[in-house]
Amino acid sequence: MTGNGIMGTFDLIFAGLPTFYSFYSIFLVIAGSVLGIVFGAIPGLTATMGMAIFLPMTFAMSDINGMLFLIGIFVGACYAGSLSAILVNIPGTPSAIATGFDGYTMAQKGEAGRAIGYSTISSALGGLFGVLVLMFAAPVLAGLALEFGSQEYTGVALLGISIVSYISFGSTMKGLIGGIVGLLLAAVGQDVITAYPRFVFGSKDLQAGLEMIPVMVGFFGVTEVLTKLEQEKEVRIAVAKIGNVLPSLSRLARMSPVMAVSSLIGTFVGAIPAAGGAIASMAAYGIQKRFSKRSREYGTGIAEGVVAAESANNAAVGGAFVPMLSLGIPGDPQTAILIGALMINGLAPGPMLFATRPDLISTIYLGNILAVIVFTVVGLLGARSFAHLIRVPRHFLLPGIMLFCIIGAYAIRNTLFDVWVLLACGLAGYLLQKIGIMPAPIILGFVLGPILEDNFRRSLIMSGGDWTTFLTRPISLALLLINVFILVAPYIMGVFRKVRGRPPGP
Amino acid sequence: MMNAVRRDAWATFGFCLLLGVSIFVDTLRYPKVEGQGFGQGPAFYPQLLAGALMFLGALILLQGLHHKNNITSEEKADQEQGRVRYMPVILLLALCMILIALMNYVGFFVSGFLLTFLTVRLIRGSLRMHHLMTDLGFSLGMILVVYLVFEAFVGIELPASILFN
Repeated sequence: MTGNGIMGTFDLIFAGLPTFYSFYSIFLVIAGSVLGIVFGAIPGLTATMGMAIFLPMTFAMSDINGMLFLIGIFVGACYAGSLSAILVNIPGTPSAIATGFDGYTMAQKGEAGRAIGYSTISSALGGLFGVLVLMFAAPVLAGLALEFGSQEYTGVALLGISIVSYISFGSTMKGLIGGIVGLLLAAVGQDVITAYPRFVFGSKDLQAGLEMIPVMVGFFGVTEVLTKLEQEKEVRIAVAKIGNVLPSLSRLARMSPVMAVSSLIGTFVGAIPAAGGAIASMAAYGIQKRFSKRSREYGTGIAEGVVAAESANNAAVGGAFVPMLSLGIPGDPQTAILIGALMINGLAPGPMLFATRPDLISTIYLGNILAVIVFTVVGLLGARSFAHLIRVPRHFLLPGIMLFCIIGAYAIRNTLFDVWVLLACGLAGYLLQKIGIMPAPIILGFVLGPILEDNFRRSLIMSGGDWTTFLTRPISLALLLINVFILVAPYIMGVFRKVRGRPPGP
Repeated sequence: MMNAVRRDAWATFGFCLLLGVSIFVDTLRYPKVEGQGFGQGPAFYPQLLAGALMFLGALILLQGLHHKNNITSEEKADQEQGRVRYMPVILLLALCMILIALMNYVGFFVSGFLLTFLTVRLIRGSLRMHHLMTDLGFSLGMILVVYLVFEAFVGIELPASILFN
């Protein structure tokens, strides 16, 4: 152990090996990864939805096994989003949008197999790079976070919400409104300081607050089902034929600089709360296109495009675990679900977890590595069967998802009240989407709500109501300045562009 | 006629105002806590959020009102994509509400089967006999999977029927 009470990096990596090295744990990672591949490959199903739906299954498992199963789904789905992007030009997950630019063009040229091969191998190497960075960066950040007080945690929670708002689909202000709606949902139930019941309207079920799972599954699962249901009938999609999958070693070697740079970008972007794989892959693709010697060929079906996007979005998975494990702050909706799973097991994610449960931290590392190995094997050997997965008709898909959503909501407390909460959240998510308020900021606000309120009010009470308490501590001040910069910068840039007579950016 | 941006801005403002005012009204009756400094009462935090919500709603409205009254490319794309069908959404929500309300009486497996089967029928909309049989088989199969995974494996007790017990 170090002075901070956190194990050394290498001790931490292997601390969970005895628990991890069991048939059942390994089976769960494999099963989770395969399920994740199914969810990622079918357009319209996402990693978040898969994790939310299968979360109740983890109730029958130990905390470590439950975490391994969910990590399998997360990692598998992040990889498999590229399959439908390549085969039918419909990204299975948002993080595979950039993969389709060159992947689908390659498929149209009869090189679908080769595109899947490059996508699988670059995803694997990017994923492993992300885990490697996680192993070394998370304990360092956790050690630093042990020094954090309420003021700093308030700043970190606010940072999570402002970044979500800035990055989320649509306008920053609507992202912020979504975040506030999430914070208000988290305020339902007994007040954290005085235990006074807020917004319970006489209901005993609301006294303890809204359960995380019905809210999450409602906003992610039911909202998605309703949105899909309102669209016109599905169009038959033509799936490209899959030929030879395995790329040659010499070609792979030529791609290694692209892989290395994109993995680095992906991990860094993934570690920024709320940035996620979609932004990571777009950023990596954009940078590679800008600086490559073959810049003009990007988008015309070159393997470098697929490699850049895929190594970045899978590296972002490891990156997203860094703030989740070290600060207890969700990097994206998937890590928000993982935090929910930890909380159900009575564990508080954050720096103390490194000291109290090094075995759990270690199995998260190892689970990530095994999930990457599983999707590599499945991706290279099972490429030809992916075409069938993509063709699953929605008249079977949507009712199946709805049924699993209902069970997921019910299972947490064995009460139908939570099923009503699920339906209400699904309907609210659907209606709010109509005015551009998306589910992701709402859920991140809901997860960050208790952290923000508890620390914010505690800081004010400890300082006797002195608001300057957030400005007198250097880290807290720095976090607040970053918050202000994130929220104000787009408007200042807009004013500058107007002054210079240039059209504003997106 | 109002364009979509203005309509959207008014709708967002209306939502923020309604939610914000409701929170203020509800929190006014919360007890005041004195003596420990600012921010300790149960109403303080929700009121702060409600204020922020209404402020953001007003900003969005101002932004929307300053927007030029032209049809945007997004609106054009929406128009080209075709009309949105609200009826299946309403029917599915109604179906869910009825079957969840009935779940305590008929049990999870009957209402779950009905929900799956009727939703498949609602989406597919085909009256062919072989489609009907496939949908029936799929719904029964789903219920069997749910039983094996959640009741037998995970050990969750899904709602039983008070009538049949």
